[in-house]
Amino acid sequence: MVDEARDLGPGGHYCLAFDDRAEFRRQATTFLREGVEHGDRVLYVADATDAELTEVAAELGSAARPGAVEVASARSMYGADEVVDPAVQVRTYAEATAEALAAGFRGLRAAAEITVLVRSAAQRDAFARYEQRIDRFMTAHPFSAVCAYDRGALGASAVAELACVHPAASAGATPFRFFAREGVDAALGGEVDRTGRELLARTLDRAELDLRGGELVLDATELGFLDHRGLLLLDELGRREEVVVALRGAPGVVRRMAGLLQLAQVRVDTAA
Amino acid sequence: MRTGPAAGTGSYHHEAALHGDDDEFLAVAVPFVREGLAAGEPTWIALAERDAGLLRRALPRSAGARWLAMDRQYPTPAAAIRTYHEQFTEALGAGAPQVRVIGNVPHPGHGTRWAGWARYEAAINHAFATLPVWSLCCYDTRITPRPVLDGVLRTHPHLAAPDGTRAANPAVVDPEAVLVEGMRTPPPAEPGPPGLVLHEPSPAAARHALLAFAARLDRDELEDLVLAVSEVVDNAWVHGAPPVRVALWTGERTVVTVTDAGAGPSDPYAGLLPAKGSATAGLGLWMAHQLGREVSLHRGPGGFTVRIAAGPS
Repeated sequence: MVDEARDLGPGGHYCLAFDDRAEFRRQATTFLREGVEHGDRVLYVADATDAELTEVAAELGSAARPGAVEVASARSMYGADEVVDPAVQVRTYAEATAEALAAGFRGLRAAAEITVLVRSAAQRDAFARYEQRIDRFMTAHPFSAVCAYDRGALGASAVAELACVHPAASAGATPFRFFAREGVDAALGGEVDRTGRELLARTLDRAELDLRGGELVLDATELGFLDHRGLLLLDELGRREEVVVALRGAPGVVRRMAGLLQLAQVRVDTAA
Repeated sequence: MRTGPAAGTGSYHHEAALHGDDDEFLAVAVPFVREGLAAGEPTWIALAERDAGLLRRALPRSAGARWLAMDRQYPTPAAAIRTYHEQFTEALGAGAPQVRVIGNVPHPGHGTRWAGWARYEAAINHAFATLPVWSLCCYDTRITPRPVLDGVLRTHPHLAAPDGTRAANPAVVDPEAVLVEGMRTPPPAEPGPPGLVLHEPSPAAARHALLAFAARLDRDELEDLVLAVSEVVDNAWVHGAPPVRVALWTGERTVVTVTDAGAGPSDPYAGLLPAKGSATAGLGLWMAHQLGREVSLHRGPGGFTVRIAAGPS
């Protein structure tokens, strides 16, 4: 797992759960400075004073070509109680990515502190859906992002709800990760037990999956642990959606468990 | 039509033969197999090497019995129950009026532990109760330790003697009583103090400690042990009573005990059979029994303990 946003490659999508706001600013500016060096257009969105935004713009912009650095206040970009529309939000970033490419940049990078957008359950639900969609977008476009959430302000379970739909997240932010990966319907990594089962069920409900092929392929090469109830949850999903859930590259014990439970809607292909 | 002592019934016939020499063994085993085959009943043989060799030489080569490898048939008590149940169901579903099985259940006379197999011998009376199966469990009194024979007599409703006589066994007791009493036995003493003790660990904390601690196991065995321990710790939190304590020993074998202050499952078959009634706890404990090399349940003044051992037996 990526511990720090700076390890992100192009197309990376990292959830930073911070306890100290200075940590966000430090990691965000590091990530964006690397973007500038890489030739990306970079965007810093924060729940910050004008003074901070000006400082960050100066810090990042000193060596950058014109138009490479943009800063914005989270409150000015989104209303404080706004519930995002996932489709609109993805379109906004898709257009911004296209504009960056048209302007000669290699891609777009954003570091966004978005605590203000996920304070209520309704906001989080919409944002978790948006995070899944944008994650899929990032697998195929030169857009990468650090999504930062204030753990103290939101609480651990609210942060987990958002962190779990990123391919990588701060240590302890989420027990498992359900994310997009090229060539498969989704990837499931980390550990699924009692702690994360309910969250996985909700996350699967929010997922927009293409189920037309009769099979839902999940890359399980990063799956560290799945208990029998977690496996039953995937079987239930398969039954409800009338698909076979194929776990690719899962640990051998998952295959043995599926055999013992004689699950009809789950197929496990173990790692070599 | 079903042949033999349970003809006319649809229930399980669980019989033991205690023999003192090879002739006595063959006097019981050969007619059991021959008559089964003559009647067209699926007749299966799951004997240890020595008894299997004796029986093989006493039967015509063309005899159509099915020879089952003992190590695959009896890897653990819970796995043996599952495997037999699947095999019986398949054969009976295909129209057989009865399945006959002659077998040796593992014990020190065969170079393996008896621990857990008394539970097996008791539980199959219930697990197979409604299946027209006749099983003949052969115990050679020259190599079977006394406590094992005592357990055999408490768990087999029927006895077969070398002279051909068959009788109800007056010493048999209710299988649930055997299982409940078995749980009163304290866990076996470990070679020393635990290498690690976890107080109130989450399932994840127990898993991570085990992964860091039990490096000697191969990958599959470690994965299975990690799953078993995680499921049992999960059960302790959901169905047991605090405090939950996990202790780990490593050495030749890796041993994990999970103790909570509760009384343990009310279902005496818990772990050996998939959940009865409540579908909540039973499956996790059953999974642990299926994947754990050696799993035992203990109920004592300190609460309820599940002991799981892995590594060379």
